[in-house]
Amino acid sequence: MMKKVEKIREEEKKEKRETKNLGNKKKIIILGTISWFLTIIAPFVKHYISYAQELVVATHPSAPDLSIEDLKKIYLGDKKNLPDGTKVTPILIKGTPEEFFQKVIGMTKKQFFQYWMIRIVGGGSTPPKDAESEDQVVNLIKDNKGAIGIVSAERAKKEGLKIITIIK
Amino acid sequence: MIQENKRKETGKAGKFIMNSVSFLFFKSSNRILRQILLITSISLIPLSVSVKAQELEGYMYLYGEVGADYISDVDIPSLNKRGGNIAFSLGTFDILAKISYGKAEGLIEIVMVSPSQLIFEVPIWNILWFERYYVGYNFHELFSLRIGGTYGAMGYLSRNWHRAYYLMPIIRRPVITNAEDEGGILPLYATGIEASGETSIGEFKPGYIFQVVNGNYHFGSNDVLDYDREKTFLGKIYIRRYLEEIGISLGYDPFYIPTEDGGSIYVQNFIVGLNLSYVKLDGLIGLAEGFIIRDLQSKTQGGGGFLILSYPILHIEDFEFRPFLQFGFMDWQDGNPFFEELNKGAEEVRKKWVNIGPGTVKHLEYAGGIRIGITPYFALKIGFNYYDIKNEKDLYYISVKAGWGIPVFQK
Repeated sequence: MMKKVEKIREEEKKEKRETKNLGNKKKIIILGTISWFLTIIAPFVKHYISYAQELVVATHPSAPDLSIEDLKKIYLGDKKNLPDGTKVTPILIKGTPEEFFQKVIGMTKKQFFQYWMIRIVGGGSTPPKDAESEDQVVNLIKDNKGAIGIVSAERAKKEGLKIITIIK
Repeated sequence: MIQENKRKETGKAGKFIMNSVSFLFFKSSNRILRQILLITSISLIPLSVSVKAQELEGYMYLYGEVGADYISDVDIPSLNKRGGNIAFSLGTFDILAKISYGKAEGLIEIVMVSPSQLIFEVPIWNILWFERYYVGYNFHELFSLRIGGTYGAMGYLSRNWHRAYYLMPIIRRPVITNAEDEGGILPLYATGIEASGETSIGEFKPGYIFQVVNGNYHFGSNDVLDYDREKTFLGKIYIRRYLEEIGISLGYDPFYIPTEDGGSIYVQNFIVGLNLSYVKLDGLIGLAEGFIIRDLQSKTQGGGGFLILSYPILHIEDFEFRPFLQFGFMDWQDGNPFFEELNKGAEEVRKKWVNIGPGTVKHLEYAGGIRIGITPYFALKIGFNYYDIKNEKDLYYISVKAGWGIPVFQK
């Protein structure tokens, strides 16, 4: 009789263990799926966040004030010096949003590149400097009074840069 | 072991470089070469030390075009080609690079033409040449100086869009913008000194260009006219607003035309040109240019002009469908030695440069077509050009072109 009871208890324990293992397996599968999903969508989420944040056109803290019209002339190569005579260096970060071109330049991104192809073929002007990352833009602005670039509002405030206009 | 191998390889490379340097500097049999290398190296040392990488700016772009033209009338007996003909062309391949350091700048543009175009007797040296090559210094916004080879300050299209075929809304350039060696009438290639300047009045930028140059040779009946014994003076004043421009061009281009009896005719061409350029990349592009060339010796004149109109009818993101219309003309007074000499060479021009157009002939030009912009860097074009030629058989071209331009490097 005792043996039977022990056997039943043993089986119950085994069942519980199996149920627990099965539960653990389920948890592992669910957690695995979630982490896999996050790994896949992370770049998109990051991209979304980077585009969702407020972007500004910023310059060196000691640079003189500039209007939107000045920015347009600078990015189109028709204004080469700041009002105080400093040589201006416009910077375009990789993946600059369309809003910048439409709001500041008054052209689409495509027209902006076409415009520069024409100006370059004419041999007269040097197009805006390319930058790969926000860090590069910030460093260029901090090192050069005439540098102007697009950074997040948060970063501009943190680095003490002068904000000329908000893009979005 | 790997590190040891690397060290060995580095050692070998170092030894090779050292051997090469010592050979060039000390053992080279050419004494002049040795001296040039030493002087250049010594002069570059302070420059390389003083130049900070971030102060150098530069870019390099590549341009190219491929296409085909059906030409209504070709007559090259030596090649047994007569009547209609399809001329495939790899067009040109351009490398344009500019570098600036502070207020100094330098530009080099090298053009390559495919040897497959040689089937129409284009001389071999046309495979590769320097299109533009200059160094300059911007003293002030009102005064920059350039020395070297650039485009003549004549009109808008030739100087600004000369090699960017794919950006132009048209498929074939107007005949009056042909270069001198293609039988063109204007001094488009200029080697010498150029002074220029611009200032700002609100959105407008008035400016000037002044050049003292040797022009390119003109292609006439004796192949070569104006082999640059005389200096050419070219100038242009303009007001521009981004890509839009109103400009007046003036030029004085004296030279000798060799005659069959071994003598020569002296020509003093005085050139006046007017250009109106309205360029909205998302809207109307309207270009109009006209030139009068008066020979002060014979007191006769000739000239030509063109009008280009283009408007996009479909725009979906990068894709653009842009039809165009083009009208052009050229005419001159009888007895003008310059035009008549170039006219004698027109047939030769057509043989040598089969796909460029009728050359210097009295004509009217009507053209139409479409530019399909696929990306900012690539476009397809299809067009029809009809040349109504006085005293000659008319010509027409049906052309298909694909053009591109890409940035390779930008700093």
